[in-house]
Amino acid sequence: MKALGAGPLPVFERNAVAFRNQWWVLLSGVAEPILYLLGMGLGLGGLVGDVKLEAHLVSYPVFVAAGLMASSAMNGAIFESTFNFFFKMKETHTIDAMLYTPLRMRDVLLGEVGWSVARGGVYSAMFLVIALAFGTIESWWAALSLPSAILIAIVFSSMGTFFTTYVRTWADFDLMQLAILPMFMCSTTFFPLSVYPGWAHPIVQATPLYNGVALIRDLHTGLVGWHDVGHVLYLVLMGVLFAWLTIRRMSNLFFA
Amino acid sequence: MWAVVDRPLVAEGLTKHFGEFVAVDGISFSVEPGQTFGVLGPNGAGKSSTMKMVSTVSPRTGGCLQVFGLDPETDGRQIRSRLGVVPQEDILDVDLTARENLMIYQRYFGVPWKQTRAKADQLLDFMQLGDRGDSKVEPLSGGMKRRLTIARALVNDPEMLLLDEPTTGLDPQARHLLWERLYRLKEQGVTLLLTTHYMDEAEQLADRLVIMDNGVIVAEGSPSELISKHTTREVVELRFDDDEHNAAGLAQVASEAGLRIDELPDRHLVYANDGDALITHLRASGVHPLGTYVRRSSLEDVFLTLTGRSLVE
Amino acid sequence: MTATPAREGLAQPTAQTPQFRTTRWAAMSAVFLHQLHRTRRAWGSSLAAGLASPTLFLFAIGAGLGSQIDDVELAALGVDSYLDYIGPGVLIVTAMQVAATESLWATMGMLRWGGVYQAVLATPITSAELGVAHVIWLGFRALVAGGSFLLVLAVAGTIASWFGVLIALVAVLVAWSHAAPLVALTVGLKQENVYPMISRVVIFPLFLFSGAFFPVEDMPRAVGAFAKITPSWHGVELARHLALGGPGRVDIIHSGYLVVVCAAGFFLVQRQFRKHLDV
Repeated sequence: MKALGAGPLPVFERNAVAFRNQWWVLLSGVAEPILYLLGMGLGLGGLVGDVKLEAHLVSYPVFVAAGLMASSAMNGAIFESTFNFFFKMKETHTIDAMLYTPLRMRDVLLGEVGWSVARGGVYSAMFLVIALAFGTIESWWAALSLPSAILIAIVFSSMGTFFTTYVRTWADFDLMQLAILPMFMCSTTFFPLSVYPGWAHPIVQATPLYNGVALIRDLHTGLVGWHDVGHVLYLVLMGVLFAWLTIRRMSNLFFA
Repeated sequence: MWAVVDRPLVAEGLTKHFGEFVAVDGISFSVEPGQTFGVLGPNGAGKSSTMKMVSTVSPRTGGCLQVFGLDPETDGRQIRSRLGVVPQEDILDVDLTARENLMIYQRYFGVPWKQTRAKADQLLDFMQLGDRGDSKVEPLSGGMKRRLTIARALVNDPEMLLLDEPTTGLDPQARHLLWERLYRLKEQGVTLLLTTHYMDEAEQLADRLVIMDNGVIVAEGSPSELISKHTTREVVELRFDDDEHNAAGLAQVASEAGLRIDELPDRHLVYANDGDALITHLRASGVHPLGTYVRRSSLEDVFLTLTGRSLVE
Repeated sequence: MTATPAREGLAQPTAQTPQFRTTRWAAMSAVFLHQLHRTRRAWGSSLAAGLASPTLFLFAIGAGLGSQIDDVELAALGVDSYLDYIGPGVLIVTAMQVAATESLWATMGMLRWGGVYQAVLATPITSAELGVAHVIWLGFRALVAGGSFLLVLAVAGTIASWFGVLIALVAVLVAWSHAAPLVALTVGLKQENVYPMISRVVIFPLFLFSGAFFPVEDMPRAVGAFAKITPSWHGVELARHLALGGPGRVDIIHSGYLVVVCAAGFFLVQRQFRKHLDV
């Protein structure tokens, strides 16, 4: 009996090998949140001063750094699970070639999602180091912000992969941008929830990025409470839901 | 019973529907170990759908299908671990070099990293790509990409190799090199299942073949059987002016030699095993065509006899 | 669709080159019209997508984050609301971003992937003219993006003066002064995998640090000084003065600087197109 493949790991390895000579392209993705931290945190921070977070005052760079760390997890995961996954699925059919081997669809998806989570995780980790250097980390709880960022990456990676299964042409990704950019700008990344009128609060709170940002902000500032368990539960549920939907949908797409 | 299990591929009443469309309509055939089995047919005949069902990436709608005695629907992984697949499109990994393509593909089969390099180099050499290992996929020629795809399908030393139109779009040199390599595999005892448009390819490689049209098998046999039954090795196309004399002369020569003629609006097709000899003979008999063209007999010619003139017009 | 006016213009036989050469501008407008026709279907969606991003920045940062800025700070900026402060600046950096991004992907698309410009070069149009026409075209894209966002700004009440109409022209100058050097650069690049890098380390910093969101003086001195060399900072300053209704003597310097950079850029583009396309 021959060995029956090695599960999701080789799919992850394939991506690592493909990017081996372009790691600098990959890493340059962390430039954006760092520039935002410099521009918004330090540049605008002077104008904004402190931000009121419930009963506490938080300096603006601390406030925005937490939002940006959550966003970099999202961006890394989304980019990989949408554009790059679509390219492998529809342009080069690399995914089809994988399915002629003992790999199963769930191996392929886990490997792909794992890779995009790794990218989101690396961006968050690099950002965390930068944030430390800029002194925007105020609590030891922040050690948990990296696993939290990985959880955020898992959520957006499974959502991105699911979305990509419905994409027909590159132009369809404009739709995604129309969802991602508002979420990035408005999920309390740059300003607190209290800015919104009361009726808008539930809408903002329903977005996955808001839950990620709120969780990481609590960990960075040490203002941790039971509501953070709620954020984690929400993210876990979203991740599981979209992972399940994606596996179901992909099996229908490829085994027709 | 033992014999059935031993056969790498058995299909009984195999059917594939896509919604209303019937791609494969109850075909039955079986492949013996070490045999090269050809499936001929025009585009849309159901060849690729059949190949996809055998390679376990497409579930059958009905009928029976056994690959290595296993059911593709429940034992897909076991089957794929013993199968090599050369899909119609090369679908090579453009982000990787030729060697990396072969190394990573071995990883998909669970081969430890340390062993992948040697095997990749051995396959590159076998497919005459030894000096292209570090090249990316894009700069390779069509024939090289095809050979790399075949090398990739061989990483697991498959017991059966599926090739979906392996030489479509290749120039003659590339095609002959490929045939020669496939022949070597055949000598090594690998079972080959290939689809093709081309009669000469089937003739070169296949021990046995079926001709498919509209999802059904319309003829089955060895290439020589099918050609002697339905066409000849070559076809001579002749053009005449309006002179009745030439056409009559041709008819007489053909009937004396027992050759079949098809009259098309603009030309005559004569089925002969040696086209040049026929033309020499015609000229000697006082028949002077405006133009002559000798070509290898193709699937279309078999179809002409199998399905009548409707396909041509 | 059959032949366009542009196509007919391009299809002139080369034998008549002497007469045809005199109509240099006609040749370039042919390239321009060709582009306009080619992209006619995409205008609707790209306009919507193009407006979405600056509008979000305007309201999320201008109104949302702006609400956290107190009156003392606003008075120091010389405005009543933060929305008024960033409105014209966002317009300018968006025009810059549109033109600069297009000068990467669209240039490569025209030259290599689509082969459209190979066909154009088979006509009497010279490579230098093609380069100029291409950059003019990118400026037009920025004009459309900037012009439509100007309407958003007017509706939002951040344009206090009729001078504000001129901001659309500033947007074109800023677009050209960034697109021209970038096009000159990309025409010689063999690999497009550096584009994301250029986007991240050149275009995006320009977007953020050209004084659209906060005064460049608020940054470390060296960064602030560097920002003042960029045409986009001059454009942002000029646009803000126009919007607030008080263009002054300093704005002659801003406009002059933009014109000089544009001219230099167009010169560079012609040189690079000749160098890389005339073989």
